[in-house]
Amino acid sequence: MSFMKLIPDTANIDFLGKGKYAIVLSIIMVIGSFYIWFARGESKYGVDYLGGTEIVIKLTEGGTSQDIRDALKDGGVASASVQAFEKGSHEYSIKVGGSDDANKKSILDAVKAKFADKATIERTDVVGPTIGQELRAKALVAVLFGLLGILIYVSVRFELAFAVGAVVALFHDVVVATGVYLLCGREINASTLAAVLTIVGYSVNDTIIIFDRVREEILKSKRVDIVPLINRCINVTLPRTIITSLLTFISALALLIYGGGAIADLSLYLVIGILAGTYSTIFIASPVVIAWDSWSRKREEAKKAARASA
Amino acid sequence: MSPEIKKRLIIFAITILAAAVFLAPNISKETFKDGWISKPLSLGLDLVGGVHLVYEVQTKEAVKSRLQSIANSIKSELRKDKVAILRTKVSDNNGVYQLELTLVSDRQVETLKTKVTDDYRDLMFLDVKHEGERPKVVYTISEANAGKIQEESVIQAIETLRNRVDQFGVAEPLIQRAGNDRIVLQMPGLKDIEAVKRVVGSVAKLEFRLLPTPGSSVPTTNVKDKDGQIVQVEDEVLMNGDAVSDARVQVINGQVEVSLSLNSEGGKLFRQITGSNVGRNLSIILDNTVHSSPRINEAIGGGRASISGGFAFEEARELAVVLRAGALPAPLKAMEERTVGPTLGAESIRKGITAILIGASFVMIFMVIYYKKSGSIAVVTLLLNLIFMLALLSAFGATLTLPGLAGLALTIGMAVDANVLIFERIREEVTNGSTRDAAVTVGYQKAMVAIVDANITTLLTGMLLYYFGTGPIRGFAVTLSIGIMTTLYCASFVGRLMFDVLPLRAKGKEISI
Repeated sequence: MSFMKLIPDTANIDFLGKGKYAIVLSIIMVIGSFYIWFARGESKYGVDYLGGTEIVIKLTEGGTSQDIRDALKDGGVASASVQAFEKGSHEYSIKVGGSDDANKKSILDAVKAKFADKATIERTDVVGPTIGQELRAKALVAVLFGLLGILIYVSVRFELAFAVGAVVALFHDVVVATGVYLLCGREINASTLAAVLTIVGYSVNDTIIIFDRVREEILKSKRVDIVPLINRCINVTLPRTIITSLLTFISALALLIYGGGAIADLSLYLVIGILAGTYSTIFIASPVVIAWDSWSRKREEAKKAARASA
Repeated sequence: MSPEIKKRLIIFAITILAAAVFLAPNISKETFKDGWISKPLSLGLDLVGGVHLVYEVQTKEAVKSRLQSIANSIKSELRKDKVAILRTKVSDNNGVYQLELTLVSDRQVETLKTKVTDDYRDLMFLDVKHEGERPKVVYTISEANAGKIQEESVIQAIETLRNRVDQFGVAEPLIQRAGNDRIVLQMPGLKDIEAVKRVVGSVAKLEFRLLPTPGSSVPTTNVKDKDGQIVQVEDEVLMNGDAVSDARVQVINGQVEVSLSLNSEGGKLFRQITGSNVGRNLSIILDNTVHSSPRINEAIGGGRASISGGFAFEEARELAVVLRAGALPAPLKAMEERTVGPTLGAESIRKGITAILIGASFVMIFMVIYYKKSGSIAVVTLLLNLIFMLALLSAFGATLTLPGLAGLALTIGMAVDANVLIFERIREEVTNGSTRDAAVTVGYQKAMVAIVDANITTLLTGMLLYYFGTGPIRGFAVTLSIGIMTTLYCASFVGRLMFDVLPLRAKGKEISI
């Protein structure tokens, strides 16, 4: 019987053999992401997490960000930054630090003075500094709890080695996806937290499918060499990994392209995260399981040896 | 057809029926309104536009103002006993509140202490200090009592906000306590956040005090007039906003006024105040700003008073609103304010739905091409999944937000995963030489273990997101979590049922997959 296939049945790619390169690549990406994270300092946070004032306006008869900058300069709000909110839509985001009413008012006045009714106010956000700090702390706790919860669940359902592999892969995904996201010049906002946790959920989902296969195979044949076994499981589940990733990726990409400016950041993070999640499922999670497994075996043997000689 | 399959078909029919019932109000709002089991899906502020405000109640101020009013009442009661309190001072030192009452001489200290022990049990005596001849009696208030006042102030503030917000006539305003001392206020469809802030955020502390007569030694206090100049008024508050039962805008001779109706107690008090102070000027002070200081010509009965003072009509209308709704127990501090314009919301909905449709179409076309007839099972379960999600969102009275729409789109991608897992397993079994039915049974059995494990972890993150997220993000968490549940149902139950009922054969093959 023959089926339509993306990958031939005979495929037996030595994923784990290429693990060395993957790990080097991942370490570089993780370090690079941390570098971007720290290099961008406070500026990586949007108003949600930093506090401040953001106003999104739409110029109905066109105009450039320079026009808005000029208007703000005339209105005496020189410190504001102006960015195109979405390409080709004449929507611009005006941002200024501080959450005083006066800030917002002078920006709105300046915009009105120059553009009159040719500018519509799409959105205004004013967030006080305390709220920003609190939300940041909450977001961090949410992500940590997420990882911890998964660590516990996977170690109960599988084994600690698998849980460690899953969490290391997740950590990798979140760090790398955030790094690339920041590299694209985006900001960390409340919706980024949603994206991060979604990617955590998605990536662990992907990883568990392979682990589930490994568990099944181990139960089937008691004494096996774990490395080729895991490699075979990755190969067997490869069609599913690719199809699901592709379809989820397309769904997220549709959101990014057609979903509009308001969810562009969220969708971009999802698109990056899905790629990172698929990669880590194959190249990070399993090698970590094997490494942890052999490390803990060695430690146990060393303990036994120590006991025997004592 | 076996009775077992019949039973499953009936269960399936019931779920479809239930979904239809829950979804009904979304299709015809008019037919299925009050009393129907579910409400139409409500759209979040980010989709309909509106105003979102987060206020912090300055609860310490509530404690201080309570202490101040206790001080005032001790003062006026002791006056009857011919004991004068020269000065009252309330201070707050990192949550330790102190009330200082300055007397004329040491002989009066005991009178004051007896009065307080008898009538003001909340106060705790601390110390008697001396400032030259004058004794200063210092009281404090227990932490528990201060906490109670703070708690009450938040509850009362919410109540007052509710009254004030009603005046805007917004369809479904949301007023919710958040954490200890914060209040979240959402008004869908409203645009003018400044008007909301003026009406909602002003304390509206109304006071009637006398202007001091030249040369008198009565203690005074500084307030401002409307131009920001300092004005001295007498320390004693003769009447406050509690006396007001209603407030309306009136235009008399082209002058805009706010006319106050006093309650019966207030009416009596006002007659007495005006009667005993004929010829003097009575200042009407709102939030420490003098609005007018008319001369009292005669005792005023009838329980009416009015505030004039060069109002614009809109200003007078807003003032009437806040006076009607009553004063806030403490000032509010705006922590967060957001507005979303109505056009942005409408555009977001349109774009979000377009994105979902495009993503879903691609997924469905792929599934049919790749898995042939079995792929159509995926299409049906995906569509059902969307319907069930919307039905459950309606059933829970959930709010659909923009990130929630993203959650819907993403669920499509993730829901198809369950189908892919099952189909791949069935293919493996078929390749290994199983018969059609055996392949389906074993394929399902094996795939479900992985599907459940994978989805529970995702559900876990969804729940965390709900717990730690706010506003629109919660909407995302809700859609994601509901999506996982419907996915499990659709994949395991509906999909399996279709395999058992439909032949799904291809030319020369037992199963088209």
